[in-house]
Amino acid sequence: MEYEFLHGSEIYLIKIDGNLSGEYKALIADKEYHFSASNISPNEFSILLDRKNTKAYVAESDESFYVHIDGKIVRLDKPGAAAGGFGGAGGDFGAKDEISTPMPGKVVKILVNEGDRVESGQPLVIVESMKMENELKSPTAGEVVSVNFSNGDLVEPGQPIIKLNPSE
Amino acid sequence: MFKKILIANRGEIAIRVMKACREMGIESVAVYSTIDRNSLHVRTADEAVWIGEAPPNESYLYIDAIINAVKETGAEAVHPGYGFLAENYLFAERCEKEGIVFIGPDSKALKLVGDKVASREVTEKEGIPLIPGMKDKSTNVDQCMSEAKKIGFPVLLKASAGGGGKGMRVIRSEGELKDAVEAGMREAQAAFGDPSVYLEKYIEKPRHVEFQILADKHGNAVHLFERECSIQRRHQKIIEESPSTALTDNLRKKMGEMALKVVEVSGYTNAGTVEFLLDENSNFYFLEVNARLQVEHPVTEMVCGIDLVHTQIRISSGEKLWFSQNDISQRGHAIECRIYAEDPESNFLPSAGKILYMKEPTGPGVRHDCGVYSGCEVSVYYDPILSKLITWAPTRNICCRRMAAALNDFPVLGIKTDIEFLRDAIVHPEFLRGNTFTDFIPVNMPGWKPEFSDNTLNKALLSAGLFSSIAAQKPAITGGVEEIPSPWRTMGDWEIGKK
Repeated sequence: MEYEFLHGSEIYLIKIDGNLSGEYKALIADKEYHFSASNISPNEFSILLDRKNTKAYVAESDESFYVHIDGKIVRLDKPGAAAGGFGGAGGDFGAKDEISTPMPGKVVKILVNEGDRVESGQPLVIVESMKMENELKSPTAGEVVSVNFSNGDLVEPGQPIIKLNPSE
Repeated sequence: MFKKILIANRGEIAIRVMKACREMGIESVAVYSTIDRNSLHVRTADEAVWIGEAPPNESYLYIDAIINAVKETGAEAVHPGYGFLAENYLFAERCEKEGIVFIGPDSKALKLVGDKVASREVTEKEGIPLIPGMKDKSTNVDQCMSEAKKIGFPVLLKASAGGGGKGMRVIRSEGELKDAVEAGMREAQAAFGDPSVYLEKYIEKPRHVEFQILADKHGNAVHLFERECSIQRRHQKIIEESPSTALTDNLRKKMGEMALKVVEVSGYTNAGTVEFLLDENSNFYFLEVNARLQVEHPVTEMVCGIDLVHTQIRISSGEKLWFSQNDISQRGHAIECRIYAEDPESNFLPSAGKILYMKEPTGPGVRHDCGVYSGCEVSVYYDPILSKLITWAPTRNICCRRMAAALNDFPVLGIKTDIEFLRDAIVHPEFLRGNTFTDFIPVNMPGWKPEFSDNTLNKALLSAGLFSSIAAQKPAITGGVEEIPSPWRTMGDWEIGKK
């Protein structure tokens, strides 16, 4: 069987086939892997690759697979699904000309007005989520085109709180 | 002894207290908000009472609703856990009026130690060393400015009414003061319902060392030695340990005696914590009394062999302490890591959502106080703590290794957590050497990113491929009828080496 996964902006194709005794072969980017695998519980796998033991845990959401390998978590997105929602916080979340919050919260204080010139990294709005205040900073130098929320408003992830016209 | 206790809290701490109740043959009552119906604490208690909607002031901070739940269920005592109403003297006072036992200090002592400015005055008189700071709390930016100039920058801004780092900020210059004070007051108002703040001298490169105390209602008090809680982000502890690598026997004795003196002068009973800052030259300063069970109480339990929740309950029911200072000693080493739903790559921003899958670490010397489970939702309304992982070992070195291994084998999938970050902190050479200062994270782990290799990515792709291929062959269930037989039968007879 063939599957495509998106990691970051790269698409990976994997061909995988197994037999009744749990012997598998897989092809990733022209490299072939032979391994033994066992499905311990719906989310848990034991993999012996070149005799080396790996415990893998996998869970699936609508958009992504989450894999736990050797103490690390790798998110693999389904190509075509609207992945994201995690993004970065503050400065680097979302598009460069919009300021939005990665999680639901309350607008505590808008720090700029329409028409203001702002610097890259300048705090634009304070949003409270999970009882903590977070400053959302400008990802770019530019001009504030619109302020779409007021102090005290509730805001959902991805909603543009402030729109910018980048000068860079 | 009580027959029934209501736990006015949620999450891991509510469950911790409920388990203690069960061990003592006491029935437990949970309270919950609408979105917490499926939370683990509701399923752990013997009874559960709905008290309101999700926002804390409509449920877990709503005193009338909680008092009603106590009366309805016939509980004799309330355990407040930490956070929410734990240090609210008005709640303790209300319990006293209603004839309900508040498991904690009485409202008078709670009021005194909760008011950081008032408690400074009392402790200063007794010769307990304090950090230079404001005499009065304030809600006035100009007053804060003139006080800050008197104290000298950098200064530390704190919420007068609360703890847990909420509202706390370091202010390094006059230019930063106005915004910082305003933001601190807003956070204080939101978290504690009181915007008052105060300022004190900020001590660079300190360690945070606190002493656990227990005091009964008969005038007996003991300390259970120290916890070092220097590893912090956003001024909130994330790794705690006991013993501290910074204390000599002599210093430990001196600080323990000072902690008991604080307890004595404030008329404090039950379990509490006396917090100190320790500077590089072994000078220590009294910070505050945390009038509650602390998040990090398990490290003390592991090292001293005393169950603090059991003891709290017994003290509240009127029992005398059944051990004295000489009976208490530190044995081995314990570390706690706080597992939060947050993103260490993005300034530890909280991360809400559904836990698709998790598996708790186990093994000798591993304790996991947990408030969540596979499939549960982590809400944006409450503190993002998920659980606490505690390891104990005969030596600090083994304890660190044990913790690193437990963190390594702790999958939590679907939301961001600090697990990988904590593992990297624990195995950091400076942590292993015991060089733990409150600026550990900005100094040693700035801009932390998880290590990542192609090998990890390839194994992840293999695993996701495996998961998908097995899922694709599982019988699709529609209307309860299996349409496809066992995946193993449909898999064919492929063998290695055969075309």
